[in-house]
Amino acid sequence: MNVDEARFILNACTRADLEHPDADVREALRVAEADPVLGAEWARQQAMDRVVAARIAGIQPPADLRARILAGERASLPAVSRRRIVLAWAAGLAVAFTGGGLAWYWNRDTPTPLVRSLTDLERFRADMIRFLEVEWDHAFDLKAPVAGDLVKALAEATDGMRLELPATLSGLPTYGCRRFRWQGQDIALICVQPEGNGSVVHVFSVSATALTGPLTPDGDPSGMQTGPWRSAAWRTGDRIYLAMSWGPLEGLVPAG
Amino acid sequence: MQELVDLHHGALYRFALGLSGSEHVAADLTQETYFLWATKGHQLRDVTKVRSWLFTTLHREFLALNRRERRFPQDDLDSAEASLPMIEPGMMDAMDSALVMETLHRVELNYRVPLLLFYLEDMAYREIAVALELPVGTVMSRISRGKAQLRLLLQDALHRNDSKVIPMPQVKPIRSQMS
Repeated sequence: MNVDEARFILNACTRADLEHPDADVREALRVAEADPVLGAEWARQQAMDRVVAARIAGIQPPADLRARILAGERASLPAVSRRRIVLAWAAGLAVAFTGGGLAWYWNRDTPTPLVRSLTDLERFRADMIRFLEVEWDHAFDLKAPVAGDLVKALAEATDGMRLELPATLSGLPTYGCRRFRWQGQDIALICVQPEGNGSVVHVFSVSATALTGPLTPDGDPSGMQTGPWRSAAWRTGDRIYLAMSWGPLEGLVPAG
Repeated sequence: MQELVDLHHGALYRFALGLSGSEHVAADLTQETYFLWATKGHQLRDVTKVRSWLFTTLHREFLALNRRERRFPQDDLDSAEASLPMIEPGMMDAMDSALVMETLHRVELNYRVPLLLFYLEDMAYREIAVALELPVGTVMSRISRGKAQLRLLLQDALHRNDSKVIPMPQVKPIRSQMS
């Protein structure tokens, strides 16, 4: 076993491994003892690990959790989710009826303006930022340098997801695509490499039915900055697209 | 059941808190895990696997809650980096539980999950692999990378900790994967 192999094993060794070491762990420890550099590194690593473990161990569960478990109660999460769905439907219907009625009353002599609510879009945008920063494992379902190949693969894999990227994006080199679920919807992600600025443009696509409060169809992106992320959304056909990047998006997404 | 709760509910809660970042969700995930044990635990024949079963179940419930699906094969990770970033002097004293947990929650999920089980300290790395249904080598690699990320994030957090505001991680999600 060489030093790198020993380091690799020791990094993963838990207290349980050290208390009851198997042959690999014993050999890694022997290598660490014989190599002063690795030995010192291992000692610092252990010190750090002990502190982190102690801080985590200091977190106590809620006082009533044990009693709730022993009472055989089911967690509220699934029920909350169902309630939220029902409440969301009810709220949506109420808003639709109330908003529609008011719009008809106030604007009955003028053309009814398109209702423009970004509430769902904002939630979508925030969740996609979280996906990029926290949840994504940075793996692609398919890597390909051409957007058309990714669009085709997504259509085949999803039984009907037809993406239409604007020419300003579809002509650029791509890294790959990823599909995942959000709010019960299939989300497609295509990562594009714009020329020159070194950034990546992440283009998410979701069915337009997933977001109430429609964007203006076919254009009019609503640009926004959230932390380092610049983003713009637009709708093409029956899908809404959200582009996000640390770099500029001007000239890449449909103009308003 | 009572003994099982006393033995593991604290560690399960801490695992769930590290996964979800929410005390409420962590409590619910822990509670749901024991509910599932009460209804399905009798199917487990090897009683020595109870702890792994509980952690596996909680992890699955968390993933289901996030509605994450992986219908395509994943690119596996390369071997872990040979060396980790250095620990700065004084760094450890400045860390409290909240800072550690908040920072852990910023580690990428793939690395965070085995890293949390590592820091709960009860499981050997081979048992972590069983609980997460992953190859042992993958678990070791992810623990190693997770530690590297955690150190960087902790250093960053501690450097900016004057106002107790933890900065967002410097995420460049794609480029390091593309070469």
